[in-house]
Amino acid sequence: MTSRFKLARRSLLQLAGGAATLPLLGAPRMAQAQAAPKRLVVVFVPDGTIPSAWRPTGSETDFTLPTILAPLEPHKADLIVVDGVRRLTQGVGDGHEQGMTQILTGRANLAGATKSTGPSVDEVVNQQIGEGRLALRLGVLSRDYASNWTRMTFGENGNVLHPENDPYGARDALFEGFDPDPMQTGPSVDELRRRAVRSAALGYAEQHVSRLIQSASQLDKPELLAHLQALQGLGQEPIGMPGAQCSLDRVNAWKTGVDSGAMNSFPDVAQMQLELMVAAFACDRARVGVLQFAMSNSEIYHKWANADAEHHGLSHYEFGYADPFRTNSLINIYKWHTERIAWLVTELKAAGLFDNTLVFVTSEMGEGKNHSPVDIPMLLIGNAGGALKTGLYKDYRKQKNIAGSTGASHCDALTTVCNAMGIETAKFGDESKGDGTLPGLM
Amino acid sequence: MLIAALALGCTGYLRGEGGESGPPGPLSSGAPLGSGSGNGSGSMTTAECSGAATNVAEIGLRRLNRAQYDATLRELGLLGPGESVAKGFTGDSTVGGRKHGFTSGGAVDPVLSRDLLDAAISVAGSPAATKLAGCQPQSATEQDSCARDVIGSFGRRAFRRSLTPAERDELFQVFDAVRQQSDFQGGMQAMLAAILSAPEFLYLVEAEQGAAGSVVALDGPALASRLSYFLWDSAPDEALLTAAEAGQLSTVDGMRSAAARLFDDPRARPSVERFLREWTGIDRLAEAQKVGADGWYTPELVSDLQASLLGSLEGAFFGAEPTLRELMASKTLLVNDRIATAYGLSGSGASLSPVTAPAERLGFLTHPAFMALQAKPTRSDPIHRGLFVREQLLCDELPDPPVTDENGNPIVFNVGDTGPGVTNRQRFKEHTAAALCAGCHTLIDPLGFGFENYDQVGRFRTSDENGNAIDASGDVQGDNDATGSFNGASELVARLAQSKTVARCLTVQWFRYGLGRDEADADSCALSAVQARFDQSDGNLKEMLLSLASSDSFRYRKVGAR
Repeated sequence: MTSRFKLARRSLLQLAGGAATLPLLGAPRMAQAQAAPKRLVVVFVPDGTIPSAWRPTGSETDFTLPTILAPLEPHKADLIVVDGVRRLTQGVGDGHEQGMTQILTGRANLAGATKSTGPSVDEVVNQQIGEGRLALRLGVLSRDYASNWTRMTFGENGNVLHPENDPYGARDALFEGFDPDPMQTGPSVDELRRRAVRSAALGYAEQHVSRLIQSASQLDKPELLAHLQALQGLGQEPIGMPGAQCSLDRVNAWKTGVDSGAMNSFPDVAQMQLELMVAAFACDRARVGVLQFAMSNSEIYHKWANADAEHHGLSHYEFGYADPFRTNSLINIYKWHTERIAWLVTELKAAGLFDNTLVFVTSEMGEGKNHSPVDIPMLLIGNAGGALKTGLYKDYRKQKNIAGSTGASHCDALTTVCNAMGIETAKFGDESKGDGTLPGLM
Repeated sequence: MLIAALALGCTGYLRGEGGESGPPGPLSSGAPLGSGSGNGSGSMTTAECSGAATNVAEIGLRRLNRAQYDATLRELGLLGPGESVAKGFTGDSTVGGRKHGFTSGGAVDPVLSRDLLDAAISVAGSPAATKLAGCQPQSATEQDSCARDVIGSFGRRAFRRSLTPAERDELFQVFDAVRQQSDFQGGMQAMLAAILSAPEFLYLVEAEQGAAGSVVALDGPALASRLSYFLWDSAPDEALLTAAEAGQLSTVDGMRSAAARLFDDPRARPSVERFLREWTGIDRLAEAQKVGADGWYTPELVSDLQASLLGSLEGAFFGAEPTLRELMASKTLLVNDRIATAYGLSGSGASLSPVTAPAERLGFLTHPAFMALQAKPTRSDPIHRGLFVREQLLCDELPDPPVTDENGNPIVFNVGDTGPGVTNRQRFKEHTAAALCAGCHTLIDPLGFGFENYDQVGRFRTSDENGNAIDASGDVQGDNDATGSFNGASELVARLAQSKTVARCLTVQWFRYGLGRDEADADSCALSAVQARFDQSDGNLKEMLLSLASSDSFRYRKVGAR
C-alpha cells in the first residue's frame, strides 16, 4: 500500500515519551484471565506437492521425513503427517478452484468466491476460541481480488473473508489502540480526536447500512449483513491481556518500504507475516491465524528457493519430466515453504505459546500436475493441549470413505481440527462427504 | 453462469453444474446473447422482444471497485491525478467470478471495511478536503452555515443525488457532535468521513420501489450513475446530475445524448482504457516470466509494449474511424526505437509513433505484447491463445477441464515431452485424441496453432524452438460465422474482424464491463437490439456504446423480493 494515505494510526505504536499524554481513556477491555487458551494456525501452500518427495518412509511411529518435510525434523515428535486425504466435495470450477474454495469449508463452492455455501474451519474455530477477537488472516501475495483461485476463508453465512496481504496495514490494524503497557501512557490529543472522528463515521456508516438492509432485496441482504457485521467488529474495543511474552519490538522494527504486491518481496512479506502472527499470539490479540502463501495456481517465481520458473508451471512439469533440475526446482519451492512453517513452530515454542496450539498445514490438491483431489498433503503440528497424539505418520490411502472410494475425506481432517480445538462435532462441512474424525489421532 | 451456447462439439461439463465427476454429457444450448449465434439460431425474434420493457434481470447491489473509488474521489476534488487511496484495498471481485476479467466491487469483509474506514478518515482530513470546504469561519454561526453548505453541495455529489432535509440534518449532527468534542476541523472531518463511509457513497444504491418482480424505470440520479460509471468509471458531474434531476434522462434519446457527451469528454478515456486492459489482460505481461530473452527483453521494453498495445486499441475507440475493424485488424503499429530494435520493425525515437505494420502483424492479436502475454516462459502457448479467441472474441463459455473420470479417479494427462523434432501439435495430440478432452480442444487447439509463428516473447518466426518448420494452418469450428480453415494468424484476424459473432461478443463484453455483471437470459432482448444497431452502423464502436447505454437493461430494473 505504498500510495495509501497514512493515518495517525501508527501514533500509538510510536508514542514517544515527549508526546502529549492524557489520562487513560477507553482502556482496552481485558479478557478474562484464564489458563492457557487454545490457538489454531492454518497454513496454506499452493498447488499440491510432489508425492515422492513428500511422503515419509517407514512405519507409523518410526519414519523418515523426505526432502520436502525435512525442515520439520526438529519438530518430528510434535508432528502428524497426514497422508491419503481425498477431497470428496464437489462444486464449481477446475481442480484449482474447487480445491481452494472447498479445502477449509468441506462444502461445495459457488462461482466467484465472494460467497460459499458455509463457513471455513478457521472461522468456526475462531467463534469457539476467539472470545470476540477477529481471526488474523494474512496473505503473502495472495492477490487483492476475490476469485476461486485466491480465496479460501468464509464467514458464518458463507461470506468471503479476505487475507491481508500488506503486513504494515495488518500490524497497524491489529495493534490499533493497543498499548502493551497501559499504565504508563495514555492517548495523545491527536489520537483522541481521531477516535472521535472514527467513532462518528463508523456510527453513521453502521446506521446507514442497517437502514439499507431494511429495504434491501433478498438478493442483497446477505452481503449487506456481512458489511454491517464487519463495521460492528471495527467498533469493538481491542481485547487483550498482554502476557509477559508480548512484545511489539520485532514488528515495529521492520524495515520500511516492502512492496507487498511485488513478487520479489515474497520472502520479506512471508517473514513479516510470520512475525506478526507470533506477536499477535504473544499479545493475545488473536487466537486463530491463517497464513495463505500466494494463491491456487501460484504464479510466483521463487528465485530465493533456487527455483528457475514459476510455481504453477513447474507443478505441471511445464518444462518436461525428463529434466531433473526442473523437478528439483519444484521440490525446492515446497521445501522453502516447509522451512517457513518450521520457523513458526520454533518461534511459538520459544515464546511458550506452542503447548496449546495446533498448526494445520494443507494444500488445495494432491499432485499438482493432475489437479489431483487425492493424497492432499496435510500436516498437523502440535497436540493442541493434549488433544492429539503426535509423532505419527498416518497413511489413510487404503481406508474406505463414505463415498466408497479410498482415502480419508478431507472433511474428516477438518472435523479433527474442530475437535482438537474443543468443538465437539461429529462431522464438519457437508455431512454426506465425511465419516467423522481421522482415526487414530484423538 | 448462464451461457454455454456451444450447440455442437464441446461436450463435457457445464460450468456451475455437475461438478467434476460423472460422465460428460452434451452442453445444453443456452441463450444466444454472448455466444456464437452468428447463424441466428436461438436468437430472440423481433416479435418476442417488442413492447414495453418487461424483460430485465434482477440484479444485485454494485459496490464501487478500486478504480471507481479513486476516480470518484478525483471527480469530487479529493484526489489529484495519478493519486490513489484504493490501490491497496482488497476485496474486489471479477465479473462472473472468472480468474481474470472485468473488476467488480465484491462483498465488504472485516479487512476491507477497515480499509474503507481508514481511507474515509484520511481523505476527510486531507488538505484537499479542507480546501473543498473553502471557508474559515470564526463564530459558531459561521461554522454552522459553512458545514451546512458543504453538506448540501458535497453530500449531493458524493451520494450522486440531492439529500433530503432529514439526511442533511443528520450529517449536521455528526459535524456538531464531534465539533463539541474537539473543534471545527474535527467536526468537518467527521462529517466528510461519514459521507465517504456511507453505503450511499460506496454502493450504487437504486431504490427498491414497487412490487416484487415488477420492472420499473430507474429514477434520474440512478440513471446518471449507471451512465457515468459505465463511460467514465466515475461519478456523474454536476451537468449530468442536473440533467438527471430535471428528468432529461428518462427517454432513450435523453440517455443517448447524455452518453454522447460523456463519450466525447476526455474523462471517457480511463474507462475505455480499463475495459481494454481487463479484456486483453495486458497488465499481467509485467509479471510474466520469460526465458531465453535475457538482455533485451527488459521491464522498460515490456512497459513500452503494453503502452503500444493499449494505445492502438484506444485509438480504435477515439480515432477518426471508431470501428470494430479498426479495433480488431488495425494495420498500424505504435513503435519506438526500443520496440523496433527488439522486433525488427521500422520506427525510431523514444516515443511511440504509428508505423505501417508488416503483413504478419495485423491487429492486436498478433501484436508482440499480446503474443508474449499469451505464451509460456519458454515457448508459445497455443492452448491459451485459442482459448482467448473462444472466450473473449466469440464469447463461448467452455466448461472447466474435468478433474476426475466417471469413476471419480483423477484424470492423468500427459503433455508430451518437448525436444528435437517435436512440435507443439505433437505435444498436445492427446487433447484432441482423448474422448474426455476432444470436445472442447477441437474448438480451442486448431485456433491456437494458427499463432505458432509467434514465440514466447512475440517474435515472428518460421521455425519453432526445436527447429521444425511452422505449420500455422488452423480451423475455426463451432457455432459462429467465422468458421472455416485459415493459414496464419493474419488470415484468422481478417476473418474475425468481419464476423458478426465477434461484434456481438464485443457488445456482451462491454455489457459485462459496464453493468458489472454477466448478462442474463432476461437481457437478451436488450442485447439483441444493441447488437442489431451495432451491425447496422457497420461496426461503429461509439454507436454500440450509446445503444448499450440507452438499452432497456440500462434503463430499467426488476424489483427484488424482500
